[in-house]
Amino acid sequence: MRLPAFDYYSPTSIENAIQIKNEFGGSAVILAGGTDLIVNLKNRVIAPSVVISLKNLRELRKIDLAGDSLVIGAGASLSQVACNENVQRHFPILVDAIKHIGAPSIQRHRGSIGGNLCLNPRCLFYNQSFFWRKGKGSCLRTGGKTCLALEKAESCQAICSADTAPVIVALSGQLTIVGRAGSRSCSAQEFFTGKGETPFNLGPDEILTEIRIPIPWAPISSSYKRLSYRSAIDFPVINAACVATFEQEKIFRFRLVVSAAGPAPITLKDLESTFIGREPSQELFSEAEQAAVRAVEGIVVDNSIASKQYRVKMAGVMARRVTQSALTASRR
Amino acid sequence: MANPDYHLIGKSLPRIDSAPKVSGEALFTGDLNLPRMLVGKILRSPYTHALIKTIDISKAKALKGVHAVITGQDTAGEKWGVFKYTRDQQLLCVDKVRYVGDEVAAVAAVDEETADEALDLISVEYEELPGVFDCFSAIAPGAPVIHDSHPRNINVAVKIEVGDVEEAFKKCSIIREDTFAADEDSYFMMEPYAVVANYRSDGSIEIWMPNASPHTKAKALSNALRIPLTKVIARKITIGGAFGGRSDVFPAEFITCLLSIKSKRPVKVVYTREENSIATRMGHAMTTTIKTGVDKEGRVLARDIVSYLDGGAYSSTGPIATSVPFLCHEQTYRLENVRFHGYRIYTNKPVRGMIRIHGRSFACGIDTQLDMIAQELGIDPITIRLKNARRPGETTATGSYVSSCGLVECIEKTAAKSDFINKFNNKKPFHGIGIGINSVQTGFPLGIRGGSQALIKFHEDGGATVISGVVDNGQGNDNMLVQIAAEELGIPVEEIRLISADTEITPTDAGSYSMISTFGGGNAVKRAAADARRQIFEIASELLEADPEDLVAKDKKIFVRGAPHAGIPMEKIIRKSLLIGRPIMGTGSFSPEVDQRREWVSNPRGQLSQAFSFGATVAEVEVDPETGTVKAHNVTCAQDCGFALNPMVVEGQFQGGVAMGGQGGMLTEAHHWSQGHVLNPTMLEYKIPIIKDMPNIETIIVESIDPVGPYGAKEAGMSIAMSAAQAYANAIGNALGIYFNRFPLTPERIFDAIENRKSGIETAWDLEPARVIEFDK
Ligand SMILES: Cc1cc2nc3c(=O)[nH]c(=O)nc-3n(C[C@H](O)[C@H](O)[C@H](O)COP(=O)(O)OP(=O)(O)OC[C@H]3O[C@@H](n4cnc5c(N)ncnc54)[C@H](O)[C@@H]3O)c2cc1C
Repeated sequence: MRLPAFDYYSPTSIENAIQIKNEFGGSAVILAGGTDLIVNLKNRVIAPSVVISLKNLRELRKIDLAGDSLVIGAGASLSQVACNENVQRHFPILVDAIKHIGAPSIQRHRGSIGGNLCLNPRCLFYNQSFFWRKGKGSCLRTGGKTCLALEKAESCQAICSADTAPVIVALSGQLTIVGRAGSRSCSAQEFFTGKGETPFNLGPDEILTEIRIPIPWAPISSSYKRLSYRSAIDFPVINAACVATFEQEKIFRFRLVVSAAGPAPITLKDLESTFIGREPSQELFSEAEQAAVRAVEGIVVDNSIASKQYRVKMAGVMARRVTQSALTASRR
Repeated sequence: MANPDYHLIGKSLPRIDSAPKVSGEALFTGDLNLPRMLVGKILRSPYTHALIKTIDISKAKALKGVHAVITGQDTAGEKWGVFKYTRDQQLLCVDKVRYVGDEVAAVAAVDEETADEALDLISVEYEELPGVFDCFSAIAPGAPVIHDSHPRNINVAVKIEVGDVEEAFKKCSIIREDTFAADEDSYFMMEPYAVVANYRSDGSIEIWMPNASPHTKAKALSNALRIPLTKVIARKITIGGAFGGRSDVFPAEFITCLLSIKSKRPVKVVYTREENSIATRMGHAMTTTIKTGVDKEGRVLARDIVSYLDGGAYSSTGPIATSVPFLCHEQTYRLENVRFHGYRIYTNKPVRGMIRIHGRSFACGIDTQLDMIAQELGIDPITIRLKNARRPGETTATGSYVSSCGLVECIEKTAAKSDFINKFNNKKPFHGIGIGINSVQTGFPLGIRGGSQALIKFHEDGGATVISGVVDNGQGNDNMLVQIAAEELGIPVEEIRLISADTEITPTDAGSYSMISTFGGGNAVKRAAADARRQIFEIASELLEADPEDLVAKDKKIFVRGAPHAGIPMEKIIRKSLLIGRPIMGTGSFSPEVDQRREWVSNPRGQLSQAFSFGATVAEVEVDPETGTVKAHNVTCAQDCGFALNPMVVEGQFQGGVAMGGQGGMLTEAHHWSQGHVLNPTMLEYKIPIIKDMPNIETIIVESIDPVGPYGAKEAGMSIAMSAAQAYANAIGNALGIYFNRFPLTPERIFDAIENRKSGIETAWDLEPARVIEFDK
């Protein structure tokens, strides 16, 4: 399969990159590792007129401690992130999530953390060749009038399939976004809009430059799990991340995020208050399971190799398992 | 088992094709580049079922860089089918398309971009028709008819009846009827399909493509293109896997030739992964209803089986595909009273062919049901299999004599090595153990005349070149031929060259399907080498003044037995042969003795194949009951391969069989559909296992030394692939106390069966049974 024709830029400064992005707006796309973008270009699901490569932007690949945060450049490769000492010390959950991504040789060496967060949401009716889609007709995201996965859907129901997305949300990450008007900060949670067509809170002139994760003031317990059918080179059927801190054996802060369900990671907000002050127990783990099932029930549709029913139930199982594992693990 | 008489055969030598493949030196069809070569592309139907109203190619033809555009109008409606009575696939659709992917037009252009653009410029007006996408709806009265010649969409109906089935059921103490179903599966050969055709001014055409029989391809193309067979030359090229999926003839070969003829330039068509999935072949989806009756000891007295195979849009190898699941079964198990109705049914889906674990629902159904019966009787899975397993010297239900058979040894050895009985009786929660047994043919008539022939010529340095029609599509045939010749001639493997699978140079061969290559092609090379050796010994006996009977060929020397130091170097004999005008040239041929009157549909009785291989696999698994995911820990497999010519290659075939039949075939490999559109045409969503998923595999080679196979060899690995699927199914069932009847056992299915667990000895799901179809008169 051939790439479509486009103009190619490889700016050497962020300002220059923003300038080009601003000039071409929505018809320009960012190329980081390309492990998602190239496939989508070949399948013609996107048809940009301009591709802007980040390869010459060294500053986007830095990983540093800055004040009370760990700052990861959006262009840092997944393996660079997973091998970083500070990441390993403070956020083993992120290392764990990265280890699940694709295959080491391609997705982890070439793939970037920014590209992972900006991974185009996936759908069985969308991630297909141009020929395939011609037979089925266009969907909401490719210019058609109906969603092929859910007839009555008003917006695209594609799946946020990135492994690091629920983890960065669970760790209360803040994203730095740079555009024409300068730089702004956005919480990881708000970064995901929940709409498949425009999945990220990113203007046409903007690019994601860094991910800032606050260093916890107390030891945190965390766990990431995902269900998939193959042990590598496979997207999650469902995944979940849990991060908690304790005060004298009682839960002090708790965050549970389930993803690969709909277009955005789903934070189980209610639990963040109801679990405070409680001790880990089987009952609590089942509450997490039930909450997750309730949260994803209206969101999951039949657009993955696994059925809707199964994914809903598995969201519960994964939620329970990460909760149990985070709350009973040794703390860091 | 090392035989002291052999010095190279029976040894684990590295395959001659390994290094070039690992280093990237081996060239596949897609790598070929000829001067002035054009890029060919095929326009396919985006619809499942539609009439072609008009095709306008004028704009495409006018595009700069386009050298040829063809449609059904250029083919005179020429059709392909493996048998005369199954010719139903137009090589380019003229009036109707029957599945998403059906070939409608094709272009040849200077580069891929231009070819793609030209395809976009072809406008086809279709009138969409309603489609049918499964067997039950396809045979329903009033369903859309896909081929007018075939009412109710019944493509092939096979009926086999042996003994008195009704009477035998009356004598049974337990009778069960259960229905089993499996989805479509795919091959996912590492090499996507590609064709290069080169038409030349002398009216001949060369063609390269992954294939299972260059001679069959050439013959079909000669007929379709109306070019004399002598001038249709299928060339040898490295092939990246077949698994049954390259056996057939595909429209693309014909189309590429037409493009080359029309443009007078070489043309290359390379399939995308998606095209490889939808427009070559797939495995059949299948529903099988099995009624089995046993006596108090668990001996099967009667069986009545009905199978529906979803054949997709065209016949392909239909009659064979419909019969083979039953035939493998009648080889494996003794059966005196048995009836089989097999129906291959047309649907508006991609065309189905043979696949390495063809008929999952059949084989797994038989073995699952046997375990159910064993449980009812209170006996274990090993005992009930030993009671029913085939022994040597017996004749199958449809009349094939089985001369060599090590099935009992396979069962006993896998059971002992895996500690089956102990683990079966002392089960750990969610851990399971299961066994499957199966058998395959070593060759059956595919409508191809003749067996295999081979030639061997010699070089003045004492080396030799073997010339054989056998094709290697990944299983190691090239190495097999060379290793046999090396053994017979006493020449090191490195000093034997091989020319194979080129219809201009090499003699005929039936093709590398139905597991015939070692048995047929191997025997032919062995005979050719023996013939050459006889000639060599004649000359050597004059030089050594010894009786040819007492001579030995070893290490490139000929010597009198017991006196290797006084040997004559091979090159000396070769030179001498040239000097005296008696140049050495070995010829050999082999044709298996089968009943030539046997026919798949009209006469399914008589000797099917001259030999049969047998295998048993035991799988040990652990199931996560909350997610339905399975971890296979250990797999123990044994196969009676006759004799292991190269144990390392044989073990590799076993391991591949476990990967494809068990780990992939039973756990995750299935196509998903949306109204005839396949949802997972590529490797990302079609879950073939990767190395990290694989269990620990113990291989046991059982050697029954077939009286006719070369050195006693039959075939390697196929009965493992089949039995591995059965073993996995039974092991997962055993882990959960559930008898599964829909395959593959994806986490989702297992989870569903756990949630909706039934009581008693019942299959997990109530499926619509396949029933005998009454034809309206
Ligand atoms: C076979 C296969 C398996 C895979 N398995 C997994 C898996 O298991 N888990 C998983 O999470 N992913 C998986 N992926 C997807 C992908 O490889 C990873 O998500 C990877 O991290 C993407 O990073 P990249 O740098 O290659 O992104 P790119 O392909 O370069 O970009 C991805 C998207 O993000 C946008 N983008 C990239 N960087 C920025 C930025 N700084 N600012 C704004 N937009 C940006 C691009 O425009 C593009 O739309 C798989 C891909 C393949 C082909």
